[in-house]
Amino acid sequence: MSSTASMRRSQRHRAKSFKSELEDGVQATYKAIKLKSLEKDGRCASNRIYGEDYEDDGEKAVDEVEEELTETDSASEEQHPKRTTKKSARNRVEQVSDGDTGDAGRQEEEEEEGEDGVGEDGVHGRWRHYHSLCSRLPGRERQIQLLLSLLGEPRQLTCPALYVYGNTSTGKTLVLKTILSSLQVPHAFVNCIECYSPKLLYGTILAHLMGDTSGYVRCDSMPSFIRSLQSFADERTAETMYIVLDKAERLREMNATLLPSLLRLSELTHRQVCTILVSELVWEKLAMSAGGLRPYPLHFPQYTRGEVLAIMSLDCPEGEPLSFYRTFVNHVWNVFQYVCRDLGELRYLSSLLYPKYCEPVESGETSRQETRKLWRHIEPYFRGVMSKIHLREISSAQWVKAQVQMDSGETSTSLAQGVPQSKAVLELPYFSKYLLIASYLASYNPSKTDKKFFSKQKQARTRKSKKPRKEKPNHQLLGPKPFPLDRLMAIFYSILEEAVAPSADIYSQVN
Amino acid sequence: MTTGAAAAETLLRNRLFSDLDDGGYVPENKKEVLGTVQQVLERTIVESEGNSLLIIGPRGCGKTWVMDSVFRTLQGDRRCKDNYIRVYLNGLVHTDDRLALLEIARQLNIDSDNEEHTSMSFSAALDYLLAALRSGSGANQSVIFVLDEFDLFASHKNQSLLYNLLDISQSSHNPIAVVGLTCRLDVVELLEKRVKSRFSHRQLLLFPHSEFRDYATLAQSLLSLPINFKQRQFRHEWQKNIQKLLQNAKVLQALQQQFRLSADVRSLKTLLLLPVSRLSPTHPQLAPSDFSLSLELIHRDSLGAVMKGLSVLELCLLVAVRQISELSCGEPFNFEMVYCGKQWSSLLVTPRYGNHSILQL
Repeated sequence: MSSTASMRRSQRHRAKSFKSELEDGVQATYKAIKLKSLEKDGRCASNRIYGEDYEDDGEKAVDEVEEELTETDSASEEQHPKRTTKKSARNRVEQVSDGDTGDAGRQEEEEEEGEDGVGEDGVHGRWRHYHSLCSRLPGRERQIQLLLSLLGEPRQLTCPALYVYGNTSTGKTLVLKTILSSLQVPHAFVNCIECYSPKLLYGTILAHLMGDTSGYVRCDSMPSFIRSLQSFADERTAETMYIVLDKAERLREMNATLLPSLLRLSELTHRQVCTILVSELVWEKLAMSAGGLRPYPLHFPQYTRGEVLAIMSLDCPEGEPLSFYRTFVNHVWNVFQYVCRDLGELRYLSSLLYPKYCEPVESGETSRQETRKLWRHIEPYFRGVMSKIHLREISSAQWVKAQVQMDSGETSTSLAQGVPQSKAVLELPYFSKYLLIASYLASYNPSKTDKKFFSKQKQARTRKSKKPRKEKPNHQLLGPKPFPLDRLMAIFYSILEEAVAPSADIYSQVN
Repeated sequence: MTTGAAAAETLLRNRLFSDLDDGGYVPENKKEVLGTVQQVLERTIVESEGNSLLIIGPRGCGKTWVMDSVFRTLQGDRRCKDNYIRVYLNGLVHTDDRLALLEIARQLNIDSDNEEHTSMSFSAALDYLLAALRSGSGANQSVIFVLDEFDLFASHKNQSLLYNLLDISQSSHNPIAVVGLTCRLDVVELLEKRVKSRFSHRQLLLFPHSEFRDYATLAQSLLSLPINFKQRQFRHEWQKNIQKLLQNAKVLQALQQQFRLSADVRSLKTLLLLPVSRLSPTHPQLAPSDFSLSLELIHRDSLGAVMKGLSVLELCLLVAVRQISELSCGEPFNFEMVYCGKQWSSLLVTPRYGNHSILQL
């Protein structure tokens, strides 16, 4: 009896202390994150090797993300003090969804007061979204912070052009899209591959700014584009318009004056416009065509190991234990990191291979804990897939089907046999094969050696010269060379064993 | 104070990104240019004489700023205030004479029919526009044409816009002033003979700061808050902080590095952007680390940073490519050669990697 009572007492005590700890913890985390980020930037001031810094960031980032994800929302929302809701003449309601447990840190609904939107607690303006953005986009806290600082409040002026660059799949487009949509400012997201001419570009930008993401407004030239921007800005009472141009390296090939004028849009329209260029190339490749104005550079580094694991664990399919999926993801990273660090590719591979990994568990052969057995099972598949990275020769559905077929037949450790060939293998007729061989020989061998190789008579052996010869470049490296038709025919006849008369059939096959 | 920092941030951003408010400090070389331009434009407006001049200077050193300043002063001057119309053309935007003409018509507030203009020749159209202007108001209104990226106008067909504008400025029955802004020193060589002869050859050169002292003073004036700033206590602390900062070694080093790389105003403003944008209630004063961080971000080695994100295989490919390019001594080569070559196969030591095709590089 007393034991249960004491248990209950201790439980209640634990619950209370847990709650207060939780509250303290949330406050502390929030402050710590802010401080840590400021501290990190302070450390940036000194020269240091990037490698160390990024590795550090990765591990810390994972811990931070885990902390955030495990803390409950209700506690954090209680902590954020009530904000004053003063209606101002220019009212912008920040819309936020409440009570969504999947995402720590979403704020309450609030209205701006005056220009700053300063709440009592001092978390003002755009920084309200920082917490939620960081939890949605793990690994990119520093870039989000930089972007939020540089972009400024929508009513403030900002730098006229930004240049965002980084390797593939480092989250450049994702981060920009998320930030701009959560700030709820007028923005246009345009892909320069899709809009390959200036007119298309102007039309799409204007349509997006007006909120119609699939429309097109007719706009013929740069002066009319500028006028439309001005009239749009005048309607919207001085909010910054953000224009994001993805795959910005394509802008070089369009009009010569297009890139310089896009970078100066703010100056040309005398309104607040911010042009953000996103590209995988470095700025030096575009600088020549950019006419002197250098945008503010922002680099998105490649994800570190910790960040990759954190992001890929978000992909965990429902119903699977997270730690099990994490060990799998760990394996994938360890094997594939030397070959490919592209996050998109790694996620694709893990989605392909995970069912294979789970197979022995599902069939009951091994339990989830026997990682060594699971590893031995999955290793040959890893090896097979290794040669197929980036190629996407077959779709994932086909691959799965091939696996099933292969397993139902004999067990083989080589994947290559199971994969259906997508490359066409032609069976050429007899003479065509010889013609092909003859043309290959003709293209790669220099014509001087023809006599040596292909003549049917015996040649008198020339004395070997004693002078050392210059190392000739490997002809294979130089690629095939053009050759005249009679040379081809001469080689063809010499390699063919029987005597064949030249006939229309042969010549047509040459064609 | 929370609103103090936010208000300071807004004000400083206005300073950095618009030419409206410049903190009041005008370096010596600019004062001369300002004075000359103002004189010339006043003569055009008040005495109805035609004028043309060119302002030449490298990018970011303040040509557009000079024009904006002069127009602000003219607005304040009683004699000139309502007697002129400004037409602003830009070589990047108005890439054709026809577009330029439409823009002129629009800026002169003349309702014009497109068909009429295409049928007339360029000079007739321009005369028509200016005559329409004259008949609209009683006295002669002077028109000031500001041509930005003047060198691009010289690449239009026949340079007809330039020829006509300069012709009108010489013949003086319509008082106009043509001010060209360009960054090419040899822009006069680009003009045709007939255009060059009508140009008054008045060229003003604008150079960026030649001394670090000027540069530092400009930085200080850009960062100082004005006297009429609302939160007095905040302003007091702020000014003290700025004074301290400009003695700080780190800040001076950052400013000096930027000065050595490019001494113009635009690059200074780019350097100051990050410190200003990081103002927040938790960080209400500028710190020396902000400046060093800003310098580091702007001048980061972008190629090195991108290369750090490559996988080992991609780096091997790069090494093989480098070796082949040395071997082939500048002759072109392609990926096939790299794959077949022994450099690549020697780098792939473990057979585990196999033979891959990386299509993205």
